[in-house]
Amino acid sequence: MYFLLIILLKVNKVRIMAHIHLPDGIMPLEWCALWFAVTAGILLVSLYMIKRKGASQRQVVLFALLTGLLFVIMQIPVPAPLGGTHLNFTPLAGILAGPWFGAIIVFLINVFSAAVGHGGVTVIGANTVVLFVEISLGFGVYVGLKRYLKRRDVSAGLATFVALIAGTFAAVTIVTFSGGFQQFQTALVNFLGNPLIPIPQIFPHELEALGEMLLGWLLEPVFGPIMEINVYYAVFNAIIASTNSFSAFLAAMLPVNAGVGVIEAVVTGIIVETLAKTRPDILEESVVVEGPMD
Amino acid sequence: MEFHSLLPNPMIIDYYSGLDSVVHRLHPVGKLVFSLAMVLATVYLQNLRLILVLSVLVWLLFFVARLPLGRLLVWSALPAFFVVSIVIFLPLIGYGWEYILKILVKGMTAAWYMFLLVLSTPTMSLGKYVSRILPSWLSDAFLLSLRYIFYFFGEAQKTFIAANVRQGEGIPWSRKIKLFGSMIVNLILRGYDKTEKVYVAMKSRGYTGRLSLVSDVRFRLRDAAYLALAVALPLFLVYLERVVAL
Repeated sequence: MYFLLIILLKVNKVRIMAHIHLPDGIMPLEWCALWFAVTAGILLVSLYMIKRKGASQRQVVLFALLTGLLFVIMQIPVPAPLGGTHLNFTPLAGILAGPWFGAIIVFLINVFSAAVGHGGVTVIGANTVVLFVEISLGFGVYVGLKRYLKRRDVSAGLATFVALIAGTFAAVTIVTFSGGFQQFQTALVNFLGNPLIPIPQIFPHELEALGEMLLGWLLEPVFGPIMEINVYYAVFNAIIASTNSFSAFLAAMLPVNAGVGVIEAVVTGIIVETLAKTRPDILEESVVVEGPMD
Repeated sequence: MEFHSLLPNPMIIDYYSGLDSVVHRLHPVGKLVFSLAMVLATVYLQNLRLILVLSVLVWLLFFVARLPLGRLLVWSALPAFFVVSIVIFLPLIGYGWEYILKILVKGMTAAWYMFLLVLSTPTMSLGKYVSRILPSWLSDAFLLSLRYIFYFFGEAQKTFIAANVRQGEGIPWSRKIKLFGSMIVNLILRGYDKTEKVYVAMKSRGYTGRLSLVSDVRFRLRDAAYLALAVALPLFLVYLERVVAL
C-alpha cells in the first residue's frame, strides 16, 4: 500500500495536499446521511443569516466569483519541497466572504470537486462540515487577531494555520467516528491482540483516564436520564475504543497537514497583506451587507 | 508552476461533453439520476464481486460514449490518491486486505460514474437543471460560478505560462512562494474587476434577479429506459446480495 502511494506521488506527479477530500465508500450510507443532515443545517442557518442581513445582486455575483476562483486556485500547486503542494484556501475564503457565504461556497466547491473525482459524492456532507470548520475558524480567528495585532499578514497566517489544524482534527474525527461503533470495537480487539503493530500513543494513559472521567461528567447529565444505563455505557465505551483509531489517523495526518499548513499560512498572509495595500475595500467589505435583496 | 496535470481541465470536459454518442444524447436529468444511483449502490453494496459488476458497467459506458479510455485512466490517479491516502492507515488498526481492496474499488467506481456524467453532459445544461432546485439567487450564483470556473481556468493558465516563461531557473523557494502569492492576488483583483463589469453588463441587459436559460431538452422514451435501469439495476444487485446471499 505504501509503495502504491509512493508510485502515485512520483510517477503520476500527484503532489502533497493540504486537504484530503474524503472519497466514496469510506463510511456507511447512514453516516453519510447524518453528515448531509448536519450540512443541511449549516446551510439553512447560513441562508437565514444571509437573508436576515440582506444581500444585493452585486454581492451574489461576487459570491459566485469567489466560488469559481477558489475552486480553480485549489487545483494550482504551490512551489514547495517534495514537488509542490496543493492548498485549501478555505481560511482565505472565510476571511474574504465570512462564515455564512463561506459555508455555501465550500458546499458548492465540494459539489464541483465531486463531479471531477476530487472527493466523493456521498461524503459531500462530511467534506463540507470539515471545510466549514476551516472557513469559520479562519474568519473568527482573523477577526479576533486583527484587533490586537497590527499586521494583517500575521493575523491571516495564524488564522490559516489554526483553521487548517482544526480541519485536520475534524476530518480525522469524522472518518474514525463514522465507521460504525462495531468496527472500532473490533479494531480495538485486533490492536490489543497484536502488540507487534506499533500504534503511537497520542494521548498519555493518564490523559485518557482523565478524558474518560470528563466524558462521564459531560454525558451523564444528557444521556443518563433519557437512556438505559447499559446503552449509555455501550456508546461511551465505543467512543473510547475509537480513540485508538483516532490516534493512529491523527499521528499520520497531522505532521503532513501541519507542514503544508505553514506554507498555506505564509501564502495567505502574503495575499491578505497585498490586498490590504492595493484594494483594502475588498478586505473591509463583508460579502453580506445591510440592505434588502434586490 | 503548472496546473494539476491530473485534473480534467474544464475546456477538455467541455470538449468531450459536446461529442455525439448514444450516451451524450440522453437527457441530463436521466444521466444525473443514473450516476447518483450507481454511486449510492456502489457505497451500499458490500460484496466485492457485485461492486466489480458496476465497475465493468461504467467502463462499458465509457466505451459506448466514445470517451478517451487512456486519458480516463490518467485522471483516475487523482481519486485513487485520495482513496489510498485514507486506506493506507487501515492495516495499522487491524483491517484486512479484502476490506481495503473493497474501499479502493468503491472509491474508484464512484469517481468513474461522476466522470461519465460530466464528460457526457454539457456543463451548463447540467447546471441548468440542478439550479432549478435552489432558491433563485443561489441558482444564479451557482450558474455564474460554473461560468467563472471556465473564466478563471483560462486566466490562471495565461498567468502561470507567463510566469514560467519569465522566472527562469534557480529561484529560491521563498521567492517562488512570494511570486505565487502575488499571482493569486492578481487573479483575485482581475476577478473582482471582471465581476463589476459583468454586473453592470447584466443590469444594462435587463437582469432582474433571475437568469434566463435556453430551452429544455425533450424527455424521450430512451431516457425513461435509462432511468428505469438506474432504479432496477441497484435494486437487483441489492437483491442478489441480501436475498440470494451471493
